[in-house]
Amino acid sequence: METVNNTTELTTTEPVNNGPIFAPAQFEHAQRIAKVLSSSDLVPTQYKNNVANTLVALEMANRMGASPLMVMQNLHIIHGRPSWGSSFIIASLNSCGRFTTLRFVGDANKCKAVATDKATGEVLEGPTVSLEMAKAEGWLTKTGSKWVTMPELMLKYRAAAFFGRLYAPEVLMGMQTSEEVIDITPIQPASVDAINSKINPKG
Amino acid sequence: MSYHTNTSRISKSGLDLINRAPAHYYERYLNPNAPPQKETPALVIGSAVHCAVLEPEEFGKRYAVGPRVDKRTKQGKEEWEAFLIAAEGLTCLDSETATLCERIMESVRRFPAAKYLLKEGQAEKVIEWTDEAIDVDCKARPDWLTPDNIIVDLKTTEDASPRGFAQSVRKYRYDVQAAFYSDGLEAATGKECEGFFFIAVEKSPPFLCAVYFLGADDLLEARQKYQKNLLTYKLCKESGIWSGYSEIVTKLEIWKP
Repeated sequence: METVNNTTELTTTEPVNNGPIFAPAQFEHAQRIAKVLSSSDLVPTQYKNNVANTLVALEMANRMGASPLMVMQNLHIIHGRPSWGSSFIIASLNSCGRFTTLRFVGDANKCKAVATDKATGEVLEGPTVSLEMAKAEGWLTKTGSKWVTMPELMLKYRAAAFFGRLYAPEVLMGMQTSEEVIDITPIQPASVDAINSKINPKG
Repeated sequence: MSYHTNTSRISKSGLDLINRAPAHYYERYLNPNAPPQKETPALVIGSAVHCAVLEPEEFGKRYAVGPRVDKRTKQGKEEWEAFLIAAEGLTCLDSETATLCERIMESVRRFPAAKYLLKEGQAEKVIEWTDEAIDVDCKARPDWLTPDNIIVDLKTTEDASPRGFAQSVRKYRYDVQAAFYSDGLEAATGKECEGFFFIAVEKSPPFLCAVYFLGADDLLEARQKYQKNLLTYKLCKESGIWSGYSEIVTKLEIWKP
């Protein structure tokens, strides 16, 4: 096991593939583990007494070579969709062994994630995320948007998600970060704005 | 076969009965020995209000408004009898109910958002689809469907304030209706449902009106509720067992909805 000093890195072993737990031989065993885990008081509420959810988390942990509890702590169900906590994505990128620790380059209005590919020495730059982009995409204008209250953190989180999606999509396993899911889920149908503007053009 | 007598597909009212206890669904829709459903005065008033607001041009063809008479007197009785004969084939309303319908219609038609939504569309269009996830045949009959694929549902209520109507939504599971109808429309037409709106109108003066929609979170939860009911329905249908309430002695949670 590699020992690391950076707090955002995970102390985990290299990803190991223990074989699909949904293979018939393993399934029974996995289900028993899921039953025990889901009855624990330490697991987050969406897994508590929910063997099915716990089994999904087990499968993911198995694929990633990570601890089931860690996956459960960081796999959030937002608007019915599984998504990763952003800090978990950063930690996973840092500990996957392919890149140097993620650095964030930018200012108060924009940010990109940068890391060096350990194998080739190439400097990899993620797409730049800016407040302008957040505004254009409508992330900033949503009620209760974290882009208004903590823009710096949101810029870094999003820059990391974009970096991961581009250079290490297997780390995100095709999923979005929780913050992304919150940003892209419409809070109201488009027709609401259309109606309100028609009946009250000034409002 | 009318919309209500077609039991090969389940409606939102059916889901409500399943949610209470499958035995209620059986009694209402499947029991061949059950007495026929009576049309209660509340149901008649509800239909008349819907007709007045959504299809005002049809009102005269479906309803006959009785004269204002004192049915306790001989003359009044005779007048009322004569009216009933003349109004054969139509549903009879007393003049108070007719006035109520008119006042509600005026209030809704004057309310800008409702006026906008009801400008163009079709009343009571039947939608039929199969829920892919659970494989159950479903049906719905939205009050109003616009050409833009927006569903509008008219609700008369004691209290149309946000707080009051939210209570009605919980009590009568209007959230489940919104999710069930929106999904049904998408499945039936292959086009996205552009919104589900409630026109809530109070049934006493000054007949205040409001238009509401539900947030994505509530709709998502409602979707899970109706899918759970669909699954129960499917299992009951397959097993032929339409159970009642829990047979074991149960702790009653008095503060849970």
